[in-house]
Amino acid sequence: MSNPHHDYYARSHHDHEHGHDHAHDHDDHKHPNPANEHDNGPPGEYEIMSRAMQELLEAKGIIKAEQITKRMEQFDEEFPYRGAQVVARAWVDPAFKQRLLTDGRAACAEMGTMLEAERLIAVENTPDVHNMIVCTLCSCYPRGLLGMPPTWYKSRNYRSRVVFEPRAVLREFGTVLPENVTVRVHDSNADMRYLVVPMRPARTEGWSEERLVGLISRDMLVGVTVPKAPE
Amino acid sequence: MTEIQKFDAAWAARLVEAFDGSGIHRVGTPGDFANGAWLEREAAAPGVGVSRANVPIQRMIVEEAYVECAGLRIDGLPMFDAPSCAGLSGTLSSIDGNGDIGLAEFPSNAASIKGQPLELLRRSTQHKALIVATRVTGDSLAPINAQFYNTPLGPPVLLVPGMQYAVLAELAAKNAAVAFVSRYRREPVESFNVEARAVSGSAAAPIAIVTPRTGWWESTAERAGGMVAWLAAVHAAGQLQQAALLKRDVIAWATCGHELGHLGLQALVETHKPTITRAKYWLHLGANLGGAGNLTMMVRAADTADAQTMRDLLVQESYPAQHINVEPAAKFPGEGHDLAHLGAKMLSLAGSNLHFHAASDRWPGNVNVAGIASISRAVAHWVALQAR
Repeated sequence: MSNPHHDYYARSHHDHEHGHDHAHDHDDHKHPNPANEHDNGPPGEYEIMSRAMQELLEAKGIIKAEQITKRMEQFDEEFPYRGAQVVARAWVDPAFKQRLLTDGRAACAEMGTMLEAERLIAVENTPDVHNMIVCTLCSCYPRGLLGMPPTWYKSRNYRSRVVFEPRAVLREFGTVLPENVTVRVHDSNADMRYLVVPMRPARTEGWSEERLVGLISRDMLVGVTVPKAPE
Repeated sequence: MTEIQKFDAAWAARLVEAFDGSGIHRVGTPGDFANGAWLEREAAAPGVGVSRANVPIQRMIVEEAYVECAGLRIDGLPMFDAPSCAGLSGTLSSIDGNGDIGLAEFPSNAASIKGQPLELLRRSTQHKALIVATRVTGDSLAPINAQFYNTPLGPPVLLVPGMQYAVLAELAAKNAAVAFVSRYRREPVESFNVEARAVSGSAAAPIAIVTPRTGWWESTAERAGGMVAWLAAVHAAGQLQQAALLKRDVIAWATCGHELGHLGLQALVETHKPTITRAKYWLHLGANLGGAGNLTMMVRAADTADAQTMRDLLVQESYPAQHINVEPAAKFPGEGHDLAHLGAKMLSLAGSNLHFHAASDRWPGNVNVAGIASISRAVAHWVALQAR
């Protein structure tokens, strides 16, 4: 019960892509930075059972809490990689990018990723427009591409603030955009997910898809950060 | 001409509360029978004839279902369209691994239409059995529909709460030795479809309406909105009939066995084959009409203009326009999918549900009665437009 990673992991699965639990939200003022916020609340029956199972397996020496944490991190690493692959392909293949922007789900299927939601809408960042993704109701998220939604994405802080002060939220993620760039916030739902296609950084001409993937992170595909040009 | 405005939120709330209170609506259980009898009573009105058609099913009785490691058990539920398994022992792995038993995680709507990844996995897997953790909002085990109930598919499958996935994933990574049991038996039982008919005396092609009336738990937001709108349609047709304004028959069915491969619809199709293609339109009142939290509504029709008409009616009746999506006709969900496949001309409504298939899908917390009332009035208007 005292393991914050376990709390996070359990709630990640508890909430799934439609999940929300407004009654459990924290007071925003205590955690002004969404990247730092965690949603906690009283556990339900299955959550208690899950925790008990873990603790008993730990007591028997079969698993360790750190391993659960590591597994969670592994998910976070593997799944965003799929999204990064899709974006890297779009950067090098204009025809694919057009298909991605037209029908994101079908384009992902071309790359072997089947998405759960009926629609994936890929939105392209340009010099004039920056896109961000939120689910104001809960935590709808393209899990097939990005894995489990990070805690900050599910937090009330992010969900409520990003729609009325997106630039302030972006600054907290270290992303400062010129004033002339329009920021568009897209609200996901159970049947419609979004993927941000960031702008390809300068000085990456001639790079292979595989190399470009290394520039792309999960947060860029949600739109809270942007890829940097290589040094 | 119809008293459509009486289909207001108070009216909807009374019906939804009664539906929720009639118990767990899994087909072949007391809650199913109570729900069907309640719907018959509510449908009865001047100008409306109500009848039932029995649907024999082999009800599945769960005997034991769990996965056990080191003497510790996680209880689950057999996937209802997978074979029974009295027990096997072996190693656990992810579905990409070589364990005897494969572990996967899927959302609770993973079998809402055919050909989805879970079905493909079950058809192709080399594992002797599968454990599927189901993700859903709420603290629950959310079953996945049994599309192949009468012809079990693939290896035995045990459904477990999504909350347990973290532990099971770690055990799978270690190729832990586990015991797997997913044992059930089947017993004959009869459920029934409810039919409500407003007869015009005309030979014109009828309007057909279908909504499923059973689900895994109370399934209140999943099912009640469809049934309430169904009742509005039936009563509107009855009023037209009484006013001698009904120019074509309106036949409405509330079918059982949605969660088990649409058994009720299968029976209906067998006994009403000519109606499938003869009906002027089939209105499918699908899942999650009036769920709270996510108001997204999908309107699909064989003809986009007809979908737009329904959208306009919904907006006219105060359903928030920004939440209505007119979707491609190729993607009819649930029973609508089956009917369209058989050549029916479909118009389908389906909503969203944060607690889809979860025990927490209950009145009042997960229900938007104002939304249900809007949908009901829109559907009643639509019936009046089509059948007058």
